Amino acid sequence: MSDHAVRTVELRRDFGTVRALDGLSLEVSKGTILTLLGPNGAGKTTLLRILMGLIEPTNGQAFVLGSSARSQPAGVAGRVAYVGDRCEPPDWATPALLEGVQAGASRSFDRALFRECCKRRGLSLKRPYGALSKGQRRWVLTSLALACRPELVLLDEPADGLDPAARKALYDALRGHVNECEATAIVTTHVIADIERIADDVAIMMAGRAVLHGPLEDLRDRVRQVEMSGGILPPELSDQVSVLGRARLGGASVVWIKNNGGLDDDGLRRLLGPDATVRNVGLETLYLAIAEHQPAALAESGKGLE
Amino acid sequence: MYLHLDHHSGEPIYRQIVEAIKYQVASGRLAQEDRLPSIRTLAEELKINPRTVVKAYEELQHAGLVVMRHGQGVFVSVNHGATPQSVRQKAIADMARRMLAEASRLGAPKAEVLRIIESEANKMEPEQ
Repeated sequence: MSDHAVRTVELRRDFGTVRALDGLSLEVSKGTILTLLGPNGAGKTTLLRILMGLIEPTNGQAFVLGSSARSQPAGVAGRVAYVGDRCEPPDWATPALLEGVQAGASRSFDRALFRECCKRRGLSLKRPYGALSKGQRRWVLTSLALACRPELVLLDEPADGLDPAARKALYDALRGHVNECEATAIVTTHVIADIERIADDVAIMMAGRAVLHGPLEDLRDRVRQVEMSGGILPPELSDQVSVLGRARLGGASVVWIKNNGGLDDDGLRRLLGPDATVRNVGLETLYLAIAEHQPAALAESGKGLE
Repeated sequence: MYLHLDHHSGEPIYRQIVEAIKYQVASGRLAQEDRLPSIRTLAEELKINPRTVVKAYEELQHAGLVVMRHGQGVFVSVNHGATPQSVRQKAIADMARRMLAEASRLGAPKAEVLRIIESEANKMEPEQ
């Protein structure tokens, strides 16, 4: 457990009759960035709020930096930073004021780093929060969080409202922090292109569960899109690959498979025959394949890539 | 060291690094005993996890293209059965295999492919 910054076990959370999390088990290794991907209402924000100790799970357990998230001791609270929609400062607060408040609250807060972050995006420290654009607010909050040098960073839609250059700057700053401090981050976003650039691990969430969870490099290594006329995989392949989804696109059968190892692309092509096309799949294609054509089997397989 | 990475191609990043460095060795841009950036430096430059760099360097070491000397760094070492020529030939063989597979899907016989390659080569500038 010690090399996991975050671990959840069968986490469940109900809001009235709505089940926001439905038995979610995740592990996040120290020194990695996990991105959560999924439609609105998939439970991403609920997970972050449970990890912060802002709400309690209905069932199951969540561990943050070795302690239960239910009873986060003060020591742990100071090592975790969270930026989300529902924790904004008042409109009249200037970045300079926020800097002072944060410096008083967190011993590890690096004032120079925070000022440098603001300067990098041309932000005046004297401009009140309410007068900033949406993107600038995100930038100030994320800078405040990173300047605390936290061991765990939880960012809920940090790129929302940012232009591409600002998004890249934000994620570069996050990567720098994670690499320098051996820190861990969990980030939610809808922008798949960003995920492909920053994620070490990806969890695709649907209806409160992780339908696919694993290192992004593993996905790139093992997931393939196969286009073939019949759509029936040869039986020799059945223990070598698992089927993640199927669709008929423009008259052809498309099958998304995960290679279980032991077979390289040439071997795969040999077994599939000359009529089949085997391609690498970007995350966007895979996400849409799962979102649109998700078979029941995938939900049952739970963790997917582990 | 400049390495171009395509994060959206679905190709693992560690393999893109391996291929890019192989190409630099094959083309002579990286020579015997040249020092590669440290794991930390390359991770910082490419904005990726250091573990991805480690994986790429380990793969290159396994392929006999670099040696990791403890405490000193990572160096190009092409005398473990992998010379720049052999790396180059393997890279070209990979391209040829991909092209032949595509051509066979188009129904082109081998002789036709070879004829086209030859005629395209003749159209290019003559080599000195």
